[in-house]
Amino acid sequence: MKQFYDLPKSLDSEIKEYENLVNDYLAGTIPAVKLKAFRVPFGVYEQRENETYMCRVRLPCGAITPEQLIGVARIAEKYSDRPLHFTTRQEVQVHHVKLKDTVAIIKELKALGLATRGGGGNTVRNIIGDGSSLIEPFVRALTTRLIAEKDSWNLPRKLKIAFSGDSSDKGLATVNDLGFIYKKQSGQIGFTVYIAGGLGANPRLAKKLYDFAPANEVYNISRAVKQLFDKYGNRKNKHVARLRFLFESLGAKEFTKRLDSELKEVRQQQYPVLEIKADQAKTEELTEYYLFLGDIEPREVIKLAEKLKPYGDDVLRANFNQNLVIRNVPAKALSARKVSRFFGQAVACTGAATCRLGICLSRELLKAIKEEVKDSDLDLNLKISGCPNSCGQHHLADIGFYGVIKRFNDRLVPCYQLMMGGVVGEGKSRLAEKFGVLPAKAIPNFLVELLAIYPAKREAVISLVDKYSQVPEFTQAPGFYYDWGSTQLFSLADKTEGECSAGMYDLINWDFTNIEQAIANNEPDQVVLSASRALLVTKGLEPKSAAEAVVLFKQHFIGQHLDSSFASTVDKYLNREKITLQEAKELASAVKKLYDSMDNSLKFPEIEKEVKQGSPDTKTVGSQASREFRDFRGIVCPMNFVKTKLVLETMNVNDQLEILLDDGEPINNVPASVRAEGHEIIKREKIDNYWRVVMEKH
Amino acid sequence: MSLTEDQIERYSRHIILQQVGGKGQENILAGKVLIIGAGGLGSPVAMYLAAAGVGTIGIVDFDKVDLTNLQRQIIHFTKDLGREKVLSAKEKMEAINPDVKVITHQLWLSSANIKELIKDYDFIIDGTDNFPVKFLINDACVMEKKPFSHGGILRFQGQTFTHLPGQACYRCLFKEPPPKDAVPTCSQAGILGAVAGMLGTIQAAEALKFLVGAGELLTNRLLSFDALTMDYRSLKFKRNKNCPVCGDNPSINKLIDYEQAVCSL
Repeated sequence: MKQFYDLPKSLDSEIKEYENLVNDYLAGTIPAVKLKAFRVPFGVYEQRENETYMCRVRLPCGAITPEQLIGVARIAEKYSDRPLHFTTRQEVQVHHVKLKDTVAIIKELKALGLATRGGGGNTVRNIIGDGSSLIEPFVRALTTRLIAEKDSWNLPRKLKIAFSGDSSDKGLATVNDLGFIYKKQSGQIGFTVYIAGGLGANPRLAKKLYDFAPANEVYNISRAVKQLFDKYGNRKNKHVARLRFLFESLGAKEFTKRLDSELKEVRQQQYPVLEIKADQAKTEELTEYYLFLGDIEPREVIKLAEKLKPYGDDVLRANFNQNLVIRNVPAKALSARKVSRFFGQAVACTGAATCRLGICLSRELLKAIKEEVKDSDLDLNLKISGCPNSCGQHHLADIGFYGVIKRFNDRLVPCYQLMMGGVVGEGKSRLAEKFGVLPAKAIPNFLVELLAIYPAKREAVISLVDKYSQVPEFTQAPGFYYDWGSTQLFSLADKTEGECSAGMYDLINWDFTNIEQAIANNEPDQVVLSASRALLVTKGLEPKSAAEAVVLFKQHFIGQHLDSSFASTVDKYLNREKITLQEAKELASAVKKLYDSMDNSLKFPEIEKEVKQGSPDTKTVGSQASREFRDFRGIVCPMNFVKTKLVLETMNVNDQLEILLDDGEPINNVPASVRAEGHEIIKREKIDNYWRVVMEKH
Repeated sequence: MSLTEDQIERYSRHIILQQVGGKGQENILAGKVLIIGAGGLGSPVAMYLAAAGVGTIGIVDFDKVDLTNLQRQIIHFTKDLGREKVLSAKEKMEAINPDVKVITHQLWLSSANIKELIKDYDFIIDGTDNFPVKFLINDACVMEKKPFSHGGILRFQGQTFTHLPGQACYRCLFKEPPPKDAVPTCSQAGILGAVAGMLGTIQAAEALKFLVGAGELLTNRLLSFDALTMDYRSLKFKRNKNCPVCGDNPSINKLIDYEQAVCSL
């Protein structure tokens, strides 16, 4: 059976090892984390629904034979009840399978000449390409070579390699860790080489490493980059571990110097040159077979593949738009397409539905857009990611979105950042630019208007964003507080766990950005607020107001992870006393330092505590023992009293509760009602236009 | 259990009550009440208990809705004519409050099934219209040590009391059902629709007080009223040591199915 890459000999023993780990885990003799360390690099991810898994199959350049594809579809029919899914990195995935079946699936894939190894984790990932027959032989040979090397499976972070056949860079060489663009110079075949690009939450375009490297250097360069990354990459903090961070931390000069020395060493080893079996040059007829959301039912794909079989083995590719490309088959031999161009080209990552990193339900958004926009033959790329990790490649989109969380009216709202104007091409690649944040629920209507004026002038887009960016009060339009396709109020609750928690980092980074801005604007109060709020999410704390954030911070961080002396700064905030910018900055930098020292399980180092004797003075404002705080401003009577009462019920006698109340009816009623229930009002004081009330439970 | 934001809002007027609060509401949400009869008394009871958030409400009735019911059985609407009463009631209760789990029992109560039926509930409401079943409910609740609210209405009058285990029961007042056909049923005597509402809401309040543990229940007291004069009276009575079912030496040890024609109130 034809296959596009050779499976390494070691695969059998690796599958055996995986099988043993799965059995041990299912028997309860090893913990989940031990299996996970092997499972993820094997291309088997746990999906959002506990104990369901996904297998990602490596397809260099998206190449797969009709026979292989039929085999994969049969596997899906046997073990899964979901469609096959094609990814933006030209892979195919079998979703929603049981852990014990993943072993059988991997074995059956192997019989088809396919592997999942390196589908995830800190490994050499699927090597992608633009479909040009000039580069594909290199991709296959490099894949075969790299996946046979043991050190491809334990890098500091993933390593992504891409190839393009020409300067238009349809293969995305300029936005991957390592990119090769095919060139012919004085009759010699070679590549322009790019390094340290990447999308993700902190995207950057790749830098040009070599103007021209001869073809026989492709392996050496790849090997050298891998070694360099292996040696110097950051293994401690995976959020700054990709090759581009190493490039930035070393600087271009030092990076190149070290790479050169690796390359020298690699050359001395005299590895065999990649064996390139050139494709026969052909005039190719390409037909894009559009899939909506990259999904196709096994039954349909089998039918398609059977039809393609007579045209040979080399007739199918998966592309970055999550579609299939059919080549060397007359278009008329194919049935009419079912999905329009706009929606066929549109991309949505899997999102929070199945991905543990997801914030928003990106696929559901695309479905909602389809409902509203209907069909369109516009030739533009709509790309949606459910979180800032740009699996949906929103940075490269004509119109892109990525999921973010925003607070409105003290509630969390699913939103998307609008990105526009992404361009890929050698020398002209440009990441899409942010155009503002829209609530998820406003996007379909927004797009209807935007497409009507597309291509739109910048000002027109901005005013359109303004129009749609408003979020009504919860009571007026609760729908805004639910994500598309969800009946649950939008929440972070189940998003602080998971394998990497992008949603959480998004929130944290947002606060650190706020800190910088507030320092620039000389707003010490804002600095203290953002610094206080930044890390609360790591402990699952969701403050409903600014003051509550500061109080929670004081309770959970100061004296535990941060020096007690910072208490005076936050007390000033709570007491509305003047804070100097210097003080605020000190607090912010301590918080930043603490964040940097956070380990992967979201734990912070504890400070050594001085043991103080004596009973705590519970009546002192700001003392930590037995004191709760709530901000009930903006809550009308009698709900403010209801909430006060509910908090008091959870407290012990003599515990104190501090609340903030609006002026007027609330301050006139709530303390009296509290007293009527037998509790004591210790303090009531007016601050600006609201009140602070401290009570003691009796 | 902790209340959701929606629940805090929905039940805020309960929570404000000093005798209820968040804990009382949580007790209501965890409560299980069985309403026997989805008629004149059962209608207001079911509506108020559902609105109050009683977590599990069972409702028993064999009948279907007919046109003569609609003058007082306010849980059933004209569109429900011919429909099973329990299903019609369930639909309204769930519409008032989706928090509530409604379990329907479309059956004839008898000595054979009543014990099994009441055993999973915390409190039973007697919303029936005939003496045989009232005695059956009383005896079963005494034997199974279940609290229940008795209710009876006729013309412009109503009466009710609440039984707790160890306190006076229906047989302490009335030894046995009156002779067959000695008492007119409502189909013969008539009933002012609102009277059913007056008495049913008292029963609902008793059930809620019981779940919350607030105030004094109508134990050892028979509350009666006459809507024509709007006089209310409360008659004290005690557990009878010689009561055939709850006395010191009970003579009734098995449930009895008395005979009487029924009509639905």
